[in-house]
Amino acid sequence: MVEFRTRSTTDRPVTRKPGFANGIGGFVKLVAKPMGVSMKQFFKSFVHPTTLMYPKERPDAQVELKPEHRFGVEGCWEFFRGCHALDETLCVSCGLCEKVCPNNCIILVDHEGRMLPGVDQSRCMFCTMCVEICPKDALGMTHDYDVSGFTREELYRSPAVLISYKGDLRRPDLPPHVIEYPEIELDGCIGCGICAKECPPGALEMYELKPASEGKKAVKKPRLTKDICVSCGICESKCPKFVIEMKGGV
Amino acid sequence: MDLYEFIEYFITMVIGWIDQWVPSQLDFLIADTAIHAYVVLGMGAFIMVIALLNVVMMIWVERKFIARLMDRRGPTEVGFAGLLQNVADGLKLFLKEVIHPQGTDRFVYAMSLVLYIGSSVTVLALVPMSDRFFMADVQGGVFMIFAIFTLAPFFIFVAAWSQNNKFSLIGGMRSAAQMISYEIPLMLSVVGVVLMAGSLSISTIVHAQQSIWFIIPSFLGFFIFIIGMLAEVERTPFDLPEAEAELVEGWTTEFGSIRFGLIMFVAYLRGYVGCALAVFLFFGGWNGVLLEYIPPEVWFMGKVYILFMIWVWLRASVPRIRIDQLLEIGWKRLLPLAFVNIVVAVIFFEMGWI
Repeated sequence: MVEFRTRSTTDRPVTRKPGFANGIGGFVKLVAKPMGVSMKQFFKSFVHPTTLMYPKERPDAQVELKPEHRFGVEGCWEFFRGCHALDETLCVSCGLCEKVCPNNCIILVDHEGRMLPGVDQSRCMFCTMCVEICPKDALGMTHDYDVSGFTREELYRSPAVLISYKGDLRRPDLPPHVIEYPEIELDGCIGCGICAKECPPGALEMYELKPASEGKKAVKKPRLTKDICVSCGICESKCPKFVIEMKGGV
Repeated sequence: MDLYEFIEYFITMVIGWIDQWVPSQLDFLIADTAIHAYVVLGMGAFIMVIALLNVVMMIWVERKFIARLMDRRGPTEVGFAGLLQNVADGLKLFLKEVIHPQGTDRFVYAMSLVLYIGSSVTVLALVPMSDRFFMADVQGGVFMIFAIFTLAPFFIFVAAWSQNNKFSLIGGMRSAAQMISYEIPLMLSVVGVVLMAGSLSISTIVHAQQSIWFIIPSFLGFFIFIIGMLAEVERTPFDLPEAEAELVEGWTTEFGSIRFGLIMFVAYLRGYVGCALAVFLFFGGWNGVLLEYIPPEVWFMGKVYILFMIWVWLRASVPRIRIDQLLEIGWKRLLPLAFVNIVVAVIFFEMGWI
């Protein structure tokens, strides 16, 4: 392993041996010693150079790795940021990943009647913000680092492909989610019901404040079930009267 | 039959074959002296092709060997173990556009490069591979080689100036300063060998080493010669003229496409000539040891390659030195040591030990 030694000039006064001895000492120290080191490296490299012959030789497929080649499990750091994987049983189609993605590479697309995220890997910068924000822990990263293709279309990973990587899904140790709940000003609410319709997990439902009477329609107001809410903020963005606001809850 | 006779036979055969179509006014083209000139030219072409192939091989050796010293693999894909990688790189450089930067002195920009490359390739005429495989064996061969080598700093400096670029100008100034200051100890280190051999001719110097290689009586001279030659061909640790961390690419900054390729190629060619000179002067040239059945050309090339690999080893190990340190080593250390070396050589010569 590389060993860095730092030594400030003030620690030891520089003593220069005069003339010839200084030259010989300098030659040994500055030329002969480094040459010995590199020759040692030369013989070591015949065992196996650090370079892996990548497409033929992969770090996880290799039978015997030297200790310095190995990171975490299977030749990778455990939370190595590879391509995405999706657990479709947990996803509630809230679209937070699409919203937070800095490169706009995640777009919700239709998959068997549901809207699930598809990732354009050519634009992804592996920041894991989508993974961090996912309220249901449905999105994660895998150890698949092999992002290559001959066309841009090949680099797009549809929800079906993301689901096929589900077995390798890993999520880093994250701080708990910042939990925000919608707070509704009931005075301004017109009871249109859009928020309840748009809420992905169905945490908002409309209840009748006053039943219908004398030709008037029933007055309906939304009600929040906090256990189900995923803090996605869709209700806030969809409200036509801007009476819903996301606020830090308990 | 040696190579000279073979080429003479071949050319005489070709000329005898075309003789019947040659009109009588053009008889001077097939006179004996003309045929001798053709043979020398053919020999030169043959030697040049061999030397250039060797240079390509040396670049490959450097790339593979330095990769192993750095715990890498080097080129592996093109050809067997990457042997054709240099050819592929050269072809790629041929396909690049030739760009003239704004404000260059076009004529000087083109001509300085031609003269640099031409003068460096000319040296090959004076570098024999054995006593039967040479183009010209002139009386002052070593002197001639140094004379042609010495032209380079001028062309480099002019080429650097013509590019209208401060980095290349700094590189060219460094190159000129370095080459001129290291030529003096370099040539003084040869004096010892020339004294002991009693001639400047390469073949005579090599023949004088049949009993003992000159590295043993003149080790100090060899030490100075190798350091001076490293500086002369601008290799690490003396590659200040193209210090890529400071001066983009030194005096070659504005040379693109195949011009850059030729400059790199010629840099290695100069390295080859430097190694060959060191072998002639200190390692007995094409004289073999014990194994008589190995041809002298192989002995010579083997020594050149081993010496070149030591340079590569040095390149992988030591960092680049500063310009003031470089000049200090050249003037304050190597120059006095070179005079000491001459005195040692004179003592050896006068006592009759050699």
